[in-house]
Amino acid sequence: MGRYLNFVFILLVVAGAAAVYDMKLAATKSASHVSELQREIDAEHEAIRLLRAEWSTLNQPDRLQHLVDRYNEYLQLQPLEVKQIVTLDELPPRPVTLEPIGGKEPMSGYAGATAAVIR
Amino acid sequence: MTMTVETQSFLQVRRSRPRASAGSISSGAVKSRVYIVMMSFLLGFTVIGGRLAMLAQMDEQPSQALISAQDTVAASRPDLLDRNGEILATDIKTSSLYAEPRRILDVDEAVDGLARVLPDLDRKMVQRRLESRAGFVWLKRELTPDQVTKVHNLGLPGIGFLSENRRFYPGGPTAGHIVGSVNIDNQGLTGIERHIDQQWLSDLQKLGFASDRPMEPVKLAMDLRVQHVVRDELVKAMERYQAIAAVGIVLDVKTGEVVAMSSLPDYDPNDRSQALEQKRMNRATGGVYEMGSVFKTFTTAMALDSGAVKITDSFDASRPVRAHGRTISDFHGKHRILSVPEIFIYSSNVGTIKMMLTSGIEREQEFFTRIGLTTRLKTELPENAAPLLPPKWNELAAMTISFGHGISVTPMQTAVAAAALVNGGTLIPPTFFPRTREQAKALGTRVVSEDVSRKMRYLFRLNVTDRGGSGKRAEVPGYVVGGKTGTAEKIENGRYVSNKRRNSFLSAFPMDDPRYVVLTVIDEPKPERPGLPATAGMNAAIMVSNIIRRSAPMLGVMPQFQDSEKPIEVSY
Repeated sequence: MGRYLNFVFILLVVAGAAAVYDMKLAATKSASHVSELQREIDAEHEAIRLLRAEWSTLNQPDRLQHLVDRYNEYLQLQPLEVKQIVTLDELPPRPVTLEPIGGKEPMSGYAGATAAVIR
Repeated sequence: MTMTVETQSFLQVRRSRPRASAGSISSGAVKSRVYIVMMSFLLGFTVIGGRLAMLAQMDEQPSQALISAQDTVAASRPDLLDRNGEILATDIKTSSLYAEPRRILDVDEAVDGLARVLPDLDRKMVQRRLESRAGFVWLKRELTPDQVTKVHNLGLPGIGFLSENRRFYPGGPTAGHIVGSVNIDNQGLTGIERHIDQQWLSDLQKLGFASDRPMEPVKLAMDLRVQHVVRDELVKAMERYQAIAAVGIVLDVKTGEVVAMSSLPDYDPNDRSQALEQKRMNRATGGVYEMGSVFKTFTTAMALDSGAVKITDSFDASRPVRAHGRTISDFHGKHRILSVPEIFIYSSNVGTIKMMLTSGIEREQEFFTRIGLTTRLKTELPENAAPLLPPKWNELAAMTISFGHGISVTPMQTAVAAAALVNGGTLIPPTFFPRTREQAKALGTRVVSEDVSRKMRYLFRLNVTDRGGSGKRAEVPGYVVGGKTGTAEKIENGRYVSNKRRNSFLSAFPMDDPRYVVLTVIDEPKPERPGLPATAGMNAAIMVSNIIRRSAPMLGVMPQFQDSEKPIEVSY
């Protein structure tokens, strides 16, 4: 009896050792995965910084003005004029569009015309 | 017989072994000795095994010199942003090449390899450094990624890279004087960079907290777009008038925030060698100049503030003033009796002196001290020049000071004092960091009354709207600009020379409720075409006009057309 019990214990010890080994291996693997991810995050952060710096370089007013000057034949941009700035109150009232009496059908039209007809 | 014993199973050996006979050492003693030997071996192997396990778990320890080098170079700095969050300065990772000579196996091979990849490396210097027994030496700072790969592929032992933070300024010279620059170890040299170091960053780095972690960005009050406009206009003016230097300042009169400040010639902070050149110094806060006629603004305000002069008074400006053997006359002489507004808009030296004398010399000195023109103006920038005052504030000195000669102040001081005169009479110390109106109110000190401030606004505006006003070219339709010209003759070899001038235009807009002071200074401008005068109204005022026209929409100042033809009403 005692001998069988001993065998059981030995088996348990072996199984326990195997389980612990497995867990340790898994932990090491996770740790290296974590550090790998951390490294990737750092690299991404670095890339973001670099891209933000580049974005800012490309958006420098100095550079934009230079580009506008060079390609203005095509862009046709002009400096803002003071009289172009108005507040909402200064806008003229919205033009009123009147619906024709008697539904959506146009009063008259041209044969074969698909576009909306002036009402 | 003995042979048969040998053939027996080894399990039986012990049983058949004869006991130790008496007379020899006792069996118990033998046993204990064996145990002792066994125990000591076991102990020895346990110690060795334990040490092995310890060594296996230990990380490789870099040398002390390497650690300290990594700490120095990785010193990160906070990003600098403008008021809209645009990046002004940021850190970029670069790699620097170092060697640990003690680990190098073959110095000649290493030197050959490095020289092949980095041809600009000094061979002798490298050889000497690698042969030294030092723990750590720098070979080359800030390599390009391409060079890093090539050196890496050489596979030399004892040669490695440290990642280093390099400061990068996307805007280049646009805001150079405000932002400042750093040295190769990422320590601030000039501008706000140095201010941050002095305030807290260097302490943080000393304690080792700033080694390599992202920091909260620092926001400035500057608006990058306005800064660009100011600098662009200065660059154009320098070309158009063939000037040697120019300064432009845009200051928020209600908060004291410096929205833009440019001084030409300036430097590109990305190029470290330029930052400390004398001719590229920051003239806006680090240089003092005789500002000339713009000082009549302060004299007029002083006279009105004293109560001895009313805006309706008139003074005889028909003859030059003589004092202490000097004769002071007018540049654009009218040779008649002039009212206070006329003195201001025709920029009469004689009239200004008479106003000053009416209110008193002590009064002038006291008032100029009150608005901060006689003491060093402290800003966050490390470059703050102290004003140059006359040795004695006597009658002659007081007379010349009243029209801006004999006293040298920084352009920033002038702008700050002018802001106090137009914003309702509160002197607010300038700042390069964002500040709210409430904070500014708590910091401000009242220097002139609301009433004097209103009259000064009227005079400023009149100088632009009047047909004879010296600042009429500064007008921008819709933005109600007001200002005062200043044309100061420069001193050469102790004498004033009439063909070398430093022109300035001190202005504010919109004059009915001023929000910004704009000051331009241009050094030694030439006439645009031969025959034209090169006075401030012909160049500095036009610069102000261009700056306001381009930057006012960005600053959120609404144009107004209703009553822009008439100066602001003043009851007198």
